[in-house]
Amino acid sequence: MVHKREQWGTRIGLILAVAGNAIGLGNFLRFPVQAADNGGGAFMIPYMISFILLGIPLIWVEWALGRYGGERGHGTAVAVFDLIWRHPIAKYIGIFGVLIPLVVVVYYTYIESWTLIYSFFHLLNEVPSTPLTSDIKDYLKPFNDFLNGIIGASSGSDIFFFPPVETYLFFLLTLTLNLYIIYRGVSAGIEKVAKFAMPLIFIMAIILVIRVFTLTSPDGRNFLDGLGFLWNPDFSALKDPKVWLAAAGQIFFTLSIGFGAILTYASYLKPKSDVALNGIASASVNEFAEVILGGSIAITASVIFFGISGTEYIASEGAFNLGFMALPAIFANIPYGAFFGFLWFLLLFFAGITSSIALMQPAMAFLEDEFNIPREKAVKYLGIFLFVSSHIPIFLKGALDELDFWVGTFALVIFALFEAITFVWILGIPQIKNRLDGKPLLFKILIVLKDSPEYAWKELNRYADIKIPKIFYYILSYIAPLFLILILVWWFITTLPSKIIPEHINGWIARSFILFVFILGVYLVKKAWEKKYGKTSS
Amino acid sequence: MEKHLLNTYGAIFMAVSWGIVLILNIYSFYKILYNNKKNK
Repeated sequence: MVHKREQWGTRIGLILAVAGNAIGLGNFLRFPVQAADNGGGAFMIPYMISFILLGIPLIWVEWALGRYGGERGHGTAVAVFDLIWRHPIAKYIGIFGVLIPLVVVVYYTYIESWTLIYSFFHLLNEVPSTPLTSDIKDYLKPFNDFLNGIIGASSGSDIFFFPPVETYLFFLLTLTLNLYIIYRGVSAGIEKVAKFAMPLIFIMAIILVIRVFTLTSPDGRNFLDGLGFLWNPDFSALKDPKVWLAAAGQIFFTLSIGFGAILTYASYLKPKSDVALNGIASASVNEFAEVILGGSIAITASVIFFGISGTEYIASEGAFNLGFMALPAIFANIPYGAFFGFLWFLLLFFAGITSSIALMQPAMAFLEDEFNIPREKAVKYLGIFLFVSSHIPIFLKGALDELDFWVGTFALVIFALFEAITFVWILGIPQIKNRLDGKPLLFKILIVLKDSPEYAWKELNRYADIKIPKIFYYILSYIAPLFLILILVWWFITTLPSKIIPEHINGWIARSFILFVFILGVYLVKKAWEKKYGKTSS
Repeated sequence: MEKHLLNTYGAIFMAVSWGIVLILNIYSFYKILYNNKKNK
């Protein structure tokens, strides 16, 4: 018996939910730091090129794969890859589209709970308040200590965090809230939250932009200095390949490509739905939150308050320092700062929760679609898994970074490449099968590369509400997959060697956890297929 | 802008980037509303 799959209630609800998935902490923290570090305004050249050559095509790939699966009663890459590839290995590659978001949400929910704690403490005015000193490190120290106190990093242990009870309680509250939204379902839970949270995110961000744009420092700095720091172009940066890869990476993460979450969301489309315009609309909303709002709050405020060298120091310490130390330090010294601090962290919390519920949904869809498990029971299994697993990043130092690198950065680029190959080159193979028969392997590959993308193009344009320019046929078929391969090769050369040996034992524990989740995923896929098709199918 | 850091190039880059993003939003939501109307 095939269970009845849910559907989105409205088109706008769907677009807001997909945009909510993409809009996360990265839009407001990672983007401005990346832009400022990589040539300022000049960064926008590779950023926009990556958006067109990588972002838009891959967004369409996920949307189209999701619709393809949804029409056949499936909402994850496991079944979608199986349906398209018609090879026993495909479903085991597809499980990455469930496991990547599942592992990411293990630590993402915890970080999300920090934003709720900060928001709550700002409401109570319980954050540090110190007079501005000339040495930025001295000034930021109480805020650094405050953050260390919240995550339990000040205990002196090299191996363990010892977070206080309130941190743990806020984490439980955040996890419960996420699970409750998921429990309510796609339309009554996720869509409703997106319709409520997304406008609020924009309203809060606009209020903060207005506050930042009306700030001035005693020595006369204002928002024009902040915008200058972010946007004045350094054209020499364009010669550096690192800048181009940073821009491509930012596009990748900001649009949430390669997580499998967009695929799952798109599987709940109503019959005969467009994916071309929906994909562009959700990406556009995300870009509005990133380029216009995200670029105007944190870095701009930091330049006004700490000056250029101070902001360079903060930015060099990472996006996290900007959001969780520099911004509270600014709010501590402006009128009604507690209120604006509350708003800032509530904004991050809403941005976080609309992403974390999206990351949980592929696992839900897998349990519901492939095991016919009712939603209530699936939420219970998911909740137990997340609750137990979250103790790794909560208590083990370095585990969060390890999970983030291997799963939240590396695996998702590989999975996105598989998605692109599946959609562009493998989907059309049954239609060109007679042209392949009896040909040598090299000829077969060449025929597939040449003729198969035509069927992906047809699938993308099915029920499309816009006419996609033909240039995207070539971008989708050849340039985007090549771009992905280039990113992977670059990472293999530049980043991977330094990451192979973890800094301490917790790195190995985090890796063991990833391996355990992978084995569990493979086992569940095998069981599901055996249940559906008998022993021979796996 | 004279006394401040934002220079003409920076202002142009910002205006063009914001413009692209705004046009993309206006275009996509106009198309959605237009199609919704047409389907009714």
